[in-house]
Amino acid sequence: MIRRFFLHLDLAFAYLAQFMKTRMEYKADLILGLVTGLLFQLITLVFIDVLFAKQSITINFWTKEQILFIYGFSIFPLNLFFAFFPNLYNVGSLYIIEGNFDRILLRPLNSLFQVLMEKVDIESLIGMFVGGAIICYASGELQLEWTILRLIIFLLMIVCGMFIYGGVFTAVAAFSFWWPDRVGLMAPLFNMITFGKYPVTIYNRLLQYILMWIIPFAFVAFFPSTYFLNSTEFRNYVVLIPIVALGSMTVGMIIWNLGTHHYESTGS
Amino acid sequence: MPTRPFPYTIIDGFVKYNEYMRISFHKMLAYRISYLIGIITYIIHVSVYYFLYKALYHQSSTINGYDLQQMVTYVSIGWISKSFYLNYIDRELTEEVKSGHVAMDLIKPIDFQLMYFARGLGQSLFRIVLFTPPIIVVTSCLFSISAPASPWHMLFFILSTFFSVLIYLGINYIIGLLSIFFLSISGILYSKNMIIELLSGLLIPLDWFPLWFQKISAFLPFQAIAYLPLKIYLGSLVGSELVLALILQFLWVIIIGFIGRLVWKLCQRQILIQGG
Repeated sequence: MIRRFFLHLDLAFAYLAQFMKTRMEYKADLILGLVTGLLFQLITLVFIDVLFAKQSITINFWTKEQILFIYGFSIFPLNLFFAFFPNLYNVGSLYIIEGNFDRILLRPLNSLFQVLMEKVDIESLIGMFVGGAIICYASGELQLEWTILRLIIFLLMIVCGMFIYGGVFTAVAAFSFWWPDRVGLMAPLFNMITFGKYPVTIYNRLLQYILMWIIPFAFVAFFPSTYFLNSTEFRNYVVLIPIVALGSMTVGMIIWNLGTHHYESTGS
Repeated sequence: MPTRPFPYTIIDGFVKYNEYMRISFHKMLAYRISYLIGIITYIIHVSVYYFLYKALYHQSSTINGYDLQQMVTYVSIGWISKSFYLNYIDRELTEEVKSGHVAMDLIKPIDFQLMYFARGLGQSLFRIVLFTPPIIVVTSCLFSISAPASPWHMLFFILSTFFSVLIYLGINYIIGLLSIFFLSISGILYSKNMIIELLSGLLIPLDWFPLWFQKISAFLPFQAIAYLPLKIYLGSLVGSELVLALILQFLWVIIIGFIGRLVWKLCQRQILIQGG
């Protein structure tokens, strides 16, 4: 078990090295990717800035700086997810409809691991600089104190957030084993990520319930942010974050494994 | 096809491009799951902004001259009209360049730009007949949307949105052509959508922006995609303002179409057919 884990870890670095080499080949693409990555973050930033053009405005008593903090935080888990899980988007088309999954199944490695490692978008991480800048600005305005402990919790929580996204999208990608479709449910769920950028309290009961217990995007950015914003109202949910992350990834992997048993090659 | 005298060339042209339109329409019909999911996606978009604006208005009744009812209408109608002015010809063009299929289009006696415009119109036709109506029904059931300011405003709104379709087509065509210069432009395609959403005023009306930004955006084509039609719907533009807005949109259709042709000229020198 442990040996198998280290074998995967070892190969992960080999995959990454290989990937970096191919990526450096197309320099123009890489630069383009970096620029669009930054633009992507700036758009929501501008949106929030314009939304709060009047000083006194709040969103359900959340001030502009607080909303900015939540948004800045949300960039980290999302970019980690974009960097390490982008291939989930191709599972339906590239692996199932076109039959590339055959190749994956022939190797004595975890199938999900292989699919994930075949495409890594390191350049997505560039957005974190924007996220970091936003958090620094908001922390300054709100006079938030950062300690080593808080930094460690921050790192832990952004990784948890990545796994919440990872679990949900692994499950959705695995649905393609039963109903092959090119993009399928991926697109609306990608759009649902937007819900997680804002305080979950602004939505109605039904949406709140969905965002907390069915597609737990509220645990990715909003609940962790409340910890750093020193809000005690959601303390119980903050404690739940690692459990939700573990649960999400476990459910995702179970559905994935069930799906792989259901895989039928395209046969050509 | 042998060249025929003048009136026939137009008829032949219509038949030719009409065929592209028809095929695009049928292609859209083929993806049923995508269709259903597309409807859900639009409902999600409207919901996010509905709740966001509702929360924003919890203390004040008007912000920047809009009340909540107007804002909800603005956002809902904005996404409803996006559901039919949107098209994917940028993605299709990229795919064809990547796979080398574009070579087949180049040897045909057709105008490359008009062919893509016909395809895009086919998609919009599909959307307006089968895709947008269910979105209208669901959205108006969930959120309270105001009727247009007057029947005339409705008529001008429809005309104005038709221009949006053409402007969006023109921009997508140019973006798609970029794939001839850069081989992988998925990043551009993704961020283009978001940039247009912001600059066209779909997410937030352009008159909420700082003045210097409004001055710049007055010289950009994006406001003609969403902001101008929506202002017409809300009845904020009347008389000469309304006419001016429509003329501005029409001018952008021409300018962007012309830029598209220019970029295509440049592309013909650059084009590289992959594979064999």
